[in-house]
Amino acid sequence: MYEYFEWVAGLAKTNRMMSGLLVVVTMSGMGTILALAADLVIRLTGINLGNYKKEFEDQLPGQ
Amino acid sequence: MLYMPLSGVEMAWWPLLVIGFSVGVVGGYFGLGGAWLVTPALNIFGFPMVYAVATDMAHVAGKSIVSSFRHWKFGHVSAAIAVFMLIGTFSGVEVGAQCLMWLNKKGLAGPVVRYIYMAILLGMFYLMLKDYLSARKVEKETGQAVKDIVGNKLSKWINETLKEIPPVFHCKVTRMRLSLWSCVFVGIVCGFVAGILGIGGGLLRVPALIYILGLPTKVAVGTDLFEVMFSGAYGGFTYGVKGKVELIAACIMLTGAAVGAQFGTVCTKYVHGIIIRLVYAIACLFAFSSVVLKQVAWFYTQSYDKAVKALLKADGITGDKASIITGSITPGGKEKMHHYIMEVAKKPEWWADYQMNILYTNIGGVVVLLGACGLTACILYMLFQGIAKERREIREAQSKAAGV
Repeated sequence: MYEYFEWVAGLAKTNRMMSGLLVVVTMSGMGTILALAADLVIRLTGINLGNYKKEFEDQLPGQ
Repeated sequence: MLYMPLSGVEMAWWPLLVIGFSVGVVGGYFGLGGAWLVTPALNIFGFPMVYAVATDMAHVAGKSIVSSFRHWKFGHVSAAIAVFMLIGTFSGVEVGAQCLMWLNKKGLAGPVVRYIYMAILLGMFYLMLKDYLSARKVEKETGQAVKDIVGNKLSKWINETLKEIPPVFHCKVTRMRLSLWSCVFVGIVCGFVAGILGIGGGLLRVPALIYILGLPTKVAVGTDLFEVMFSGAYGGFTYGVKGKVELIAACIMLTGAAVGAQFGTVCTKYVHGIIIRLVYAIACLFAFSSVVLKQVAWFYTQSYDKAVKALLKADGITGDKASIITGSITPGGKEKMHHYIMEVAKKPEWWADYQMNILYTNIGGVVVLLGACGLTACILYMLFQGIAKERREIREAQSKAAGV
Protein backbone atom coordinates (compact mmCIF):
# COMPACT_ATOMS: atom_id res chain seq x y z
CA MET A 1 0.00 0.00 0.00
CA TYR A 2 2.80 2.41 0.93
CA GLU A 3 4.34 1.76 -2.50
CA TYR A 4 1.16 3.18 -4.08
CA PHE A 5 1.51 6.44 -2.12
CA GLU A 6 5.18 6.66 -3.02
CA TRP A 7 4.32 6.09 -6.66
CA VAL A 8 1.70 8.89 -6.61
CA ALA A 9 4.22 11.17 -4.85
CA GLY A 10 6.71 10.37 -7.63
CA LEU A 11 4.07 11.21 -10.23
CA ALA A 12 3.60 14.62 -8.59
CA LYS A 13 7.09 15.46 -9.84
CA THR A 14 6.83 13.95 -13.32
CA ASN A 15 3.16 13.89 -14.41
CA ARG A 16 1.27 16.49 -12.42
CA MET A 17 -2.08 16.17 -14.21
CA MET A 18 -2.16 12.44 -13.51
CA SER A 19 -1.17 13.09 -9.90
CA GLY A 20 -4.10 15.52 -9.49
CA LEU A 21 -6.51 13.01 -11.04
CA LEU A 22 -5.25 10.19 -8.83
CA VAL A 23 -5.76 12.33 -5.71
CA VAL A 24 -9.41 12.90 -6.67
CA VAL A 25 -10.02 9.28 -7.72
CA THR A 26 -8.40 7.87 -4.57
CA MET A 27 -10.27 10.16 -2.19
CA SER A 28 -13.63 9.78 -3.96
CA GLY A 29 -13.26 5.99 -4.24
CA MET A 30 -12.20 5.61 -0.64
CA GLY A 31 -14.96 8.00 0.51
CA THR A 32 -17.63 5.99 -1.34
CA ILE A 33 -16.39 2.63 -0.02
CA LEU A 34 -16.14 3.95 3.55
CA ALA A 35 -19.60 5.54 3.32
CA LEU A 36 -21.16 2.24 2.21
CA ALA A 37 -19.23 0.23 4.80
CA ALA A 38 -20.14 2.65 7.61
CA ASP A 39 -23.77 2.56 6.51
CA LEU A 40 -23.73 -1.24 6.83
CA VAL A 41 -22.15 -1.12 10.29
CA ILE A 42 -24.50 1.58 11.62
CA ARG A 43 -27.48 -0.36 10.24
CA LEU A 44 -26.44 -3.29 12.45
CA THR A 45 -26.82 -1.12 15.55
CA GLY A 46 -30.54 -0.90 14.86
CA ILE A 47 -30.70 2.92 14.60
CA ASN A 48 -33.36 4.08 12.15
CA LEU A 49 -31.34 5.76 9.41
CA GLY A 50 -34.16 6.57 7.02
CA ASN A 51 -36.09 9.77 6.46
CA TYR A 52 -37.81 11.00 9.64
CA LYS A 53 -40.22 13.69 10.78
CA LYS A 54 -38.14 16.83 11.12
CA GLU A 55 -38.81 19.62 13.56
CA PHE A 56 -38.74 22.31 10.85
CA GLU A 57 -41.36 20.67 8.62
CA ASP A 58 -44.22 22.43 10.43
CA GLN A 59 -42.64 25.82 9.69
CA LEU A 60 -42.18 25.27 5.96
CA PRO A 61 -44.38 27.02 3.39
CA GLY A 62 -47.53 25.11 2.47
CA GLN A 63 -48.22 23.97 6.03
CA MET B 1 6.49 6.83 12.19
CA LEU B 2 5.24 7.62 8.70
CA TYR B 3 7.38 9.41 6.16
CA MET B 4 5.54 11.93 4.00
CA PRO B 5 7.23 11.67 0.61
CA LEU B 6 6.48 15.17 -0.69
CA SER B 7 7.05 17.44 2.31
CA GLY B 8 9.62 15.18 3.99
CA VAL B 9 7.71 15.37 7.30
CA GLU B 10 7.76 12.39 9.64
CA MET B 11 4.86 11.83 12.00
CA ALA B 12 2.96 9.03 13.74
CA TRP B 13 -0.24 7.74 12.08
CA TRP B 14 -2.52 7.96 15.11
CA PRO B 15 -2.67 11.79 15.41
CA LEU B 16 -3.89 11.83 11.81
CA LEU B 17 -6.58 9.31 12.68
CA VAL B 18 -7.64 11.34 15.75
CA ILE B 19 -7.70 14.63 13.78
CA GLY B 20 -9.75 12.89 11.08
CA PHE B 21 -12.20 11.48 13.60
CA SER B 22 -12.67 14.82 15.33
CA VAL B 23 -13.13 16.77 12.10
CA GLY B 24 -15.49 14.05 10.89
CA VAL B 25 -17.74 14.39 13.94
CA VAL B 26 -17.75 18.20 13.88
CA GLY B 27 -17.96 18.46 10.07
CA GLY B 28 -20.78 15.93 9.81
CA TYR B 29 -22.68 17.81 12.50
CA PHE B 30 -22.58 21.33 11.07
CA GLY B 31 -20.59 21.33 7.88
CA LEU B 32 -17.46 23.03 9.25
CA GLY B 33 -14.15 21.44 9.90
CA GLY B 34 -11.51 21.82 7.24
CA ALA B 35 -9.66 25.08 7.43
CA TRP B 36 -10.29 25.95 11.07
CA LEU B 37 -9.25 22.59 12.50
CA VAL B 38 -7.21 20.37 10.14
CA THR B 39 -4.88 23.04 8.78
CA PRO B 40 -3.62 24.35 12.18
CA ALA B 41 -3.50 20.81 13.59
CA LEU B 42 -1.34 19.51 10.73
CA ASN B 43 0.78 22.63 10.96
CA ILE B 44 1.45 21.96 14.65
CA PHE B 45 2.44 18.38 13.82
CA GLY B 46 5.07 19.68 11.42
CA PHE B 47 3.36 20.06 8.04
CA PRO B 48 4.38 23.24 6.19
CA MET B 49 1.25 25.39 5.73
CA VAL B 50 0.80 24.80 1.99
CA TYR B 51 0.93 20.99 2.44
CA ALA B 52 -1.47 21.24 5.40
CA VAL B 53 -4.03 23.18 3.32
CA ALA B 54 -3.66 20.85 0.31
CA THR B 55 -3.91 17.64 2.34
CA ASP B 56 -6.94 19.02 4.15
CA MET B 57 -8.63 19.86 0.83
CA ALA B 58 -8.01 16.34 -0.51
CA HIS B 59 -9.40 14.59 2.57
CA VAL B 60 -12.45 16.90 2.54
CA ALA B 61 -13.32 15.57 -0.93
CA GLY B 62 -13.67 12.04 0.51
CA LYS B 63 -15.14 13.02 3.87
CA SER B 64 -17.97 15.04 2.36
CA ILE B 65 -19.11 11.95 0.41
CA VAL B 66 -19.52 10.05 3.70
CA SER B 67 -21.37 12.95 5.39
CA SER B 68 -23.55 13.81 2.37
CA PHE B 69 -24.56 10.16 1.99
CA ARG B 70 -26.04 10.10 5.49
CA HIS B 71 -27.59 13.60 5.29
CA TRP B 72 -29.14 12.61 1.95
CA LYS B 73 -30.80 9.59 3.55
CA PHE B 74 -32.14 11.78 6.36
CA GLY B 75 -33.65 14.15 3.77
CA HIS B 76 -31.39 17.08 4.62
CA VAL B 77 -29.98 17.65 1.12
CA SER B 78 -31.35 19.83 -1.66
CA ALA B 79 -29.30 18.73 -4.67
CA ALA B 80 -30.88 21.42 -6.89
CA ILE B 81 -29.77 24.28 -4.63
CA ALA B 82 -26.28 22.75 -4.30
CA VAL B 83 -25.83 22.34 -8.05
CA PHE B 84 -27.01 25.90 -8.82
CA MET B 85 -24.74 27.25 -6.11
CA LEU B 86 -21.80 25.41 -7.67
CA ILE B 87 -22.09 27.59 -10.79
CA GLY B 88 -21.50 30.67 -8.66
CA THR B 89 -18.97 29.01 -6.37
CA PHE B 90 -16.44 28.18 -9.08
CA SER B 91 -16.49 31.68 -10.57
CA GLY B 92 -16.42 33.26 -7.09
CA VAL B 93 -13.45 31.13 -5.99
CA GLU B 94 -11.46 32.13 -9.07
CA VAL B 95 -12.11 35.86 -8.53
CA GLY B 96 -11.32 35.50 -4.81
CA ALA B 97 -8.09 33.63 -5.57
CA GLN B 98 -7.06 36.38 -8.03
CA CYS B 99 -7.70 39.01 -5.33
CA LEU B 100 -5.62 36.97 -2.89
CA MET B 101 -2.73 36.84 -5.36
CA TRP B 102 -2.98 40.62 -5.85
CA LEU B 103 -2.91 41.14 -2.07
CA ASN B 104 0.03 38.74 -1.88
CA LYS B 105 1.96 40.82 -4.41
CA LYS B 106 1.30 43.92 -2.31
CA GLY B 107 2.47 42.01 0.78
CA LEU B 108 -0.91 42.50 2.46
CA ALA B 109 -2.39 39.01 2.12
CA GLY B 110 -1.73 37.75 5.65
CA PRO B 111 -3.26 40.53 7.76
CA VAL B 112 -6.09 41.41 5.29
CA VAL B 113 -7.16 37.77 5.10
CA ARG B 114 -7.06 37.44 8.86
CA TYR B 115 -9.07 40.64 9.46
CA ILE B 116 -11.76 39.48 6.99
CA TYR B 117 -11.73 36.07 8.65
CA MET B 118 -12.08 37.61 12.12
CA ALA B 119 -14.98 39.84 11.02
CA ILE B 120 -16.80 36.87 9.45
CA LEU B 121 -16.26 34.60 12.45
CA LEU B 122 -17.41 37.27 14.87
CA GLY B 123 -20.44 38.01 12.67
CA MET B 124 -21.39 34.31 12.47
CA PHE B 125 -20.93 33.93 16.23
CA TYR B 126 -23.21 36.92 16.87
CA LEU B 127 -25.95 35.85 14.44
CA MET B 128 -26.08 32.23 15.55
CA LEU B 129 -25.95 33.04 19.26
CA LYS B 130 -28.59 35.76 18.85
CA ASP B 131 -30.93 33.25 17.19
CA TYR B 132 -30.39 30.74 19.96
CA LEU B 133 -30.98 33.29 22.73
CA SER B 134 -34.07 34.77 21.04
CA ALA B 135 -35.48 31.25 20.61
CA ARG B 136 -34.95 30.60 24.31
CA LYS B 137 -36.66 33.92 25.14
CA VAL B 138 -39.68 33.05 23.01
CA GLU B 139 -39.82 29.65 24.71
CA LYS B 140 -39.91 31.28 28.12
CA GLU B 141 -42.60 33.76 27.08
CA THR B 142 -44.89 31.34 25.25
CA GLY B 143 -44.04 28.07 26.97
CA GLN B 144 -43.67 26.43 23.55
CA ALA B 145 -40.42 24.85 22.39
CA VAL B 146 -38.69 26.66 19.50
CA LYS B 147 -36.86 23.92 17.62
CA ASP B 148 -35.60 25.85 14.60
CA ILE B 149 -36.02 29.22 12.93
CA VAL B 150 -36.93 29.00 9.26
CA GLY B 151 -36.51 32.19 7.24
CA ASN B 152 -36.09 35.81 8.31
CA LYS B 153 -36.96 39.25 6.94
CA LEU B 154 -33.98 39.28 4.56
CA SER B 155 -34.58 35.80 3.12
CA LYS B 156 -38.31 36.48 2.72
CA TRP B 157 -37.59 39.74 0.91
CA ILE B 158 -35.01 38.07 -1.37
CA ASN B 159 -37.26 35.13 -2.17
CA GLU B 160 -40.30 37.37 -2.77
CA THR B 161 -38.35 39.74 -5.02
CA LEU B 162 -36.49 37.15 -7.05
CA LYS B 163 -39.23 34.56 -7.46
CA GLU B 164 -40.69 36.64 -10.30
CA ILE B 165 -37.39 36.51 -12.20
CA PRO B 166 -37.04 33.23 -14.12
CA PRO B 167 -35.68 30.61 -14.00
CA VAL B 168 -37.47 29.67 -10.78
CA PHE B 169 -37.57 26.13 -9.40
CA HIS B 170 -39.45 24.26 -6.72
CA CYS B 171 -37.26 22.80 -3.98
CA LYS B 172 -38.89 19.58 -2.76
CA VAL B 173 -36.94 19.32 0.49
CA THR B 174 -37.88 22.80 1.73
CA ARG B 175 -41.15 23.12 -0.23
CA MET B 176 -40.04 26.54 -1.41
CA ARG B 177 -40.04 28.26 -4.78
CA LEU B 178 -36.56 29.65 -5.22
CA SER B 179 -34.92 31.67 -7.92
CA LEU B 180 -31.85 30.17 -9.53
CA TRP B 181 -30.28 33.63 -9.27
CA SER B 182 -30.45 33.69 -5.48
CA CYS B 183 -28.59 30.32 -5.37
CA VAL B 184 -25.98 31.54 -7.86
CA PHE B 185 -25.59 34.76 -5.84
CA VAL B 186 -24.97 32.81 -2.61
CA GLY B 187 -22.48 30.62 -4.50
CA ILE B 188 -20.58 33.64 -5.88
CA VAL B 189 -20.35 35.43 -2.51
CA CYS B 190 -19.31 32.29 -0.59
CA GLY B 191 -16.93 31.23 -3.35
CA PHE B 192 -15.32 34.68 -3.42
CA VAL B 193 -14.77 34.70 0.32
CA ALA B 194 -13.56 31.07 0.25
CA GLY B 195 -11.12 31.95 -2.54
CA ILE B 196 -9.73 35.00 -0.77
CA LEU B 197 -9.43 33.22 2.58
CA GLY B 198 -8.18 29.93 1.08
CA ILE B 199 -10.86 27.90 2.90
CA GLY B 200 -13.47 25.35 1.82
CA GLY B 201 -16.36 27.76 2.30
CA GLY B 202 -18.66 25.82 4.65
CA LEU B 203 -18.02 28.43 7.31
CA LEU B 204 -19.90 31.02 5.28
CA ARG B 205 -22.17 28.81 3.15
CA VAL B 206 -24.19 27.33 6.02
CA PRO B 207 -25.09 30.78 7.46
CA ALA B 208 -25.67 32.14 3.93
CA LEU B 209 -28.14 29.34 3.19
CA ILE B 210 -29.88 30.01 6.49
CA TYR B 211 -30.00 33.81 6.38
CA ILE B 212 -30.13 34.59 2.64
CA LEU B 213 -32.13 31.66 1.23
CA GLY B 214 -34.06 31.00 4.46
CA LEU B 215 -33.36 27.26 4.64
CA PRO B 216 -33.83 25.24 7.85
CA THR B 217 -30.52 24.65 9.68
CA LYS B 218 -30.29 20.92 8.92
CA VAL B 219 -31.01 21.42 5.21
CA ALA B 220 -28.36 24.17 5.12
CA VAL B 221 -25.79 21.77 6.63
CA GLY B 222 -26.71 18.83 4.35
CA THR B 223 -26.80 20.99 1.20
CA ASP B 224 -23.47 22.59 2.10
CA LEU B 225 -21.81 19.18 2.55
CA PHE B 226 -23.25 17.99 -0.77
CA GLU B 227 -21.72 21.01 -2.51
CA VAL B 228 -18.39 20.46 -0.74
CA MET B 229 -18.20 17.04 -2.44
CA PHE B 230 -17.62 18.86 -5.72
CA SER B 231 -15.69 21.90 -4.55
CA GLY B 232 -13.49 19.65 -2.35
CA ALA B 233 -12.76 17.39 -5.33
CA TYR B 234 -11.84 20.47 -7.38
CA GLY B 235 -9.58 21.73 -4.57
CA GLY B 236 -7.98 18.29 -4.19
CA PHE B 237 -7.34 18.16 -7.92
CA THR B 238 -5.75 21.62 -8.18
CA TYR B 239 -3.50 21.03 -5.15
CA GLY B 240 -2.72 17.53 -6.49
CA VAL B 241 -1.59 19.06 -9.76
CA LYS B 242 0.65 21.41 -7.78
CA GLY B 243 2.16 18.36 -6.03
CA LYS B 244 1.23 19.50 -2.53
CA VAL B 245 -1.12 16.71 -1.37
CA GLU B 246 0.31 14.13 1.03
CA LEU B 247 -2.01 11.34 -0.09
CA ILE B 248 -1.06 8.93 2.68
CA ALA B 249 -1.96 11.50 5.37
CA ALA B 250 -5.21 12.37 3.57
CA CYS B 251 -6.19 8.67 3.41
CA ILE B 252 -5.51 8.08 7.13
CA MET B 253 -7.47 11.21 8.06
CA LEU B 254 -10.30 10.12 5.78
CA THR B 255 -10.49 6.74 7.56
CA GLY B 256 -10.92 8.51 10.91
CA ALA B 257 -13.28 11.07 9.37
CA ALA B 258 -15.50 8.36 7.86
CA VAL B 259 -16.16 6.95 11.34
CA GLY B 260 -16.48 10.40 12.94
CA ALA B 261 -18.81 11.68 10.21
CA GLN B 262 -21.25 8.86 10.97
CA PHE B 263 -21.50 9.99 14.58
CA GLY B 264 -21.75 13.67 13.63
CA THR B 265 -24.43 13.24 10.97
CA VAL B 266 -26.52 10.73 12.93
CA CYS B 267 -26.47 13.19 15.84
CA THR B 268 -28.28 15.79 13.68
CA LYS B 269 -31.30 13.49 13.76
CA TYR B 270 -31.53 13.75 17.54
CA VAL B 271 -30.96 17.47 18.05
CA HIS B 272 -32.99 20.45 16.92
CA GLY B 273 -31.72 22.99 14.41
CA ILE B 274 -31.48 25.68 17.06
CA ILE B 275 -29.00 23.57 19.07
CA ILE B 276 -26.88 23.13 15.92
CA ARG B 277 -26.77 26.94 15.68
CA LEU B 278 -25.57 27.21 19.29
CA VAL B 279 -22.75 24.70 18.71
CA TYR B 280 -21.88 26.53 15.48
CA ALA B 281 -21.58 29.79 17.41
CA ILE B 282 -19.22 28.15 19.94
CA ALA B 283 -17.08 26.73 17.11
CA CYS B 284 -16.86 30.22 15.55
CA LEU B 285 -15.65 31.63 18.88
CA PHE B 286 -12.85 29.05 19.09
CA ALA B 287 -11.84 29.72 15.49
CA PHE B 288 -11.92 33.50 16.15
CA SER B 289 -9.60 33.12 19.17
CA SER B 290 -7.20 31.08 17.06
CA VAL B 291 -7.12 33.68 14.25
CA VAL B 292 -6.54 36.50 16.76
CA LEU B 293 -3.57 34.59 18.19
CA LYS B 294 -2.27 34.00 14.66
CA GLN B 295 -2.49 37.75 14.03
CA VAL B 296 -0.52 38.44 17.24
CA ALA B 297 2.06 35.91 16.03
CA TRP B 298 2.24 37.78 12.69
CA PHE B 299 3.12 41.06 14.44
CA TYR B 300 6.24 39.38 15.85
CA THR B 301 7.33 38.22 12.37
CA GLN B 302 7.50 41.82 11.12
CA SER B 303 10.90 42.50 12.69
CA TYR B 304 12.74 39.70 10.88
CA ASP B 305 10.61 38.39 7.99
CA LYS B 306 11.82 40.65 5.16
CA ALA B 307 15.44 40.60 6.30
CA VAL B 308 15.58 36.79 6.59
CA LYS B 309 13.91 36.45 3.18
CA ALA B 310 16.63 38.71 1.75
CA LEU B 311 19.30 36.43 3.29
CA LEU B 312 17.53 33.38 1.85
CA LYS B 313 17.39 35.07 -1.56
CA ALA B 314 21.14 35.59 -1.40
CA ASP B 315 21.42 31.81 -0.94
CA GLY B 316 19.15 31.21 -3.94
CA ILE B 317 16.03 30.36 -1.90
CA THR B 318 13.03 32.41 -3.09
CA GLY B 319 9.23 32.37 -3.41
CA ASP B 320 7.27 29.60 -1.68
CA LYS B 321 10.41 27.88 -0.41
CA ALA B 322 11.51 31.02 1.43
CA SER B 323 8.01 31.57 2.86
CA ILE B 324 7.92 27.95 4.08
CA ILE B 325 11.19 28.45 5.99
CA THR B 326 10.27 31.81 7.56
CA GLY B 327 6.77 30.63 8.43
CA SER B 328 7.87 27.24 9.71
CA ILE B 329 7.27 26.17 13.29
CA THR B 330 8.75 22.68 12.80
CA PRO B 331 12.08 21.59 14.35
CA GLY B 332 13.74 21.49 10.90
CA GLY B 333 12.49 24.99 10.09
CA LYS B 334 13.63 26.27 13.49
CA GLU B 335 17.15 24.99 12.83
CA LYS B 336 17.31 26.86 9.52
CA MET B 337 15.90 30.02 11.10
CA HIS B 338 18.44 29.75 13.93
CA HIS B 339 21.19 29.51 11.35
CA TYR B 340 20.07 32.58 9.43
CA ILE B 341 19.11 34.74 12.42
CA MET B 342 21.81 33.89 14.96
CA GLU B 343 24.74 32.77 12.81
CA VAL B 344 24.33 34.80 9.61
CA ALA B 345 22.53 37.97 10.76
CA LYS B 346 23.62 37.74 14.44
CA LYS B 347 20.37 39.31 15.71
CA PRO B 348 19.23 37.81 19.04
CA GLU B 349 16.25 40.23 19.16
CA TRP B 350 14.94 38.71 15.91
CA TRP B 351 15.34 35.27 17.44
CA ALA B 352 13.27 36.37 20.47
CA ASP B 353 10.52 37.59 18.12
CA TYR B 354 10.68 34.34 16.15
CA GLN B 355 10.22 32.39 19.41
CA MET B 356 7.20 34.54 20.30
CA ASN B 357 5.76 33.87 16.83
CA ILE B 358 6.10 30.12 17.43
CA LEU B 359 4.58 30.44 20.90
CA TYR B 360 1.46 32.30 19.74
CA THR B 361 1.02 30.08 16.66
CA ASN B 362 1.18 27.00 18.88
CA ILE B 363 -1.23 28.47 21.43
CA GLY B 364 -3.67 29.22 18.57
CA GLY B 365 -3.40 25.64 17.35
CA VAL B 366 -3.90 24.24 20.84
CA VAL B 367 -6.99 26.46 21.36
CA VAL B 368 -8.51 25.05 18.18
CA LEU B 369 -7.59 21.46 19.08
CA LEU B 370 -9.03 21.79 22.58
CA GLY B 371 -12.16 23.41 21.14
CA ALA B 372 -12.52 20.60 18.61
CA CYS B 373 -12.08 17.93 21.32
CA GLY B 374 -14.69 19.67 23.50
CA LEU B 375 -17.16 20.01 20.62
CA THR B 376 -16.59 16.37 19.60
CA ALA B 377 -17.27 15.19 23.15
CA CYS B 378 -20.38 17.38 23.33
CA ILE B 379 -21.74 16.07 20.00
CA LEU B 380 -21.05 12.44 20.99
CA TYR B 381 -22.84 13.03 24.31
CA MET B 382 -25.89 14.45 22.52
CA LEU B 383 -25.82 11.50 20.10
CA PHE B 384 -25.79 8.84 22.81
CA GLN B 385 -28.45 10.73 24.76
CA GLY B 386 -30.61 10.82 21.62
CA ILE B 387 -30.17 7.12 20.88
CA ALA B 388 -30.97 6.21 24.52
CA LYS B 389 -34.12 8.37 24.39
CA GLU B 390 -35.24 6.80 21.09
CA ARG B 391 -34.69 3.28 22.46
CA ARG B 392 -36.61 4.15 25.64
CA GLU B 393 -39.55 5.47 23.61
CA ILE B 394 -39.60 2.36 21.43
CA ARG B 395 -39.58 0.12 24.53
CA GLU B 396 -42.39 2.13 26.11
CA ALA B 397 -44.45 1.95 22.92
CA GLN B 398 -43.87 -1.80 22.70
CA SER B 399 -44.84 -2.39 26.34
CA LYS B 400 -47.94 -0.21 25.87
CA ALA B 401 -48.93 -2.20 22.80
CA ALA B 402 -48.33 -5.47 24.66
CA GLY B 403 -50.45 -4.17 27.58
CA VAL B 404 -53.34 -3.31 25.26
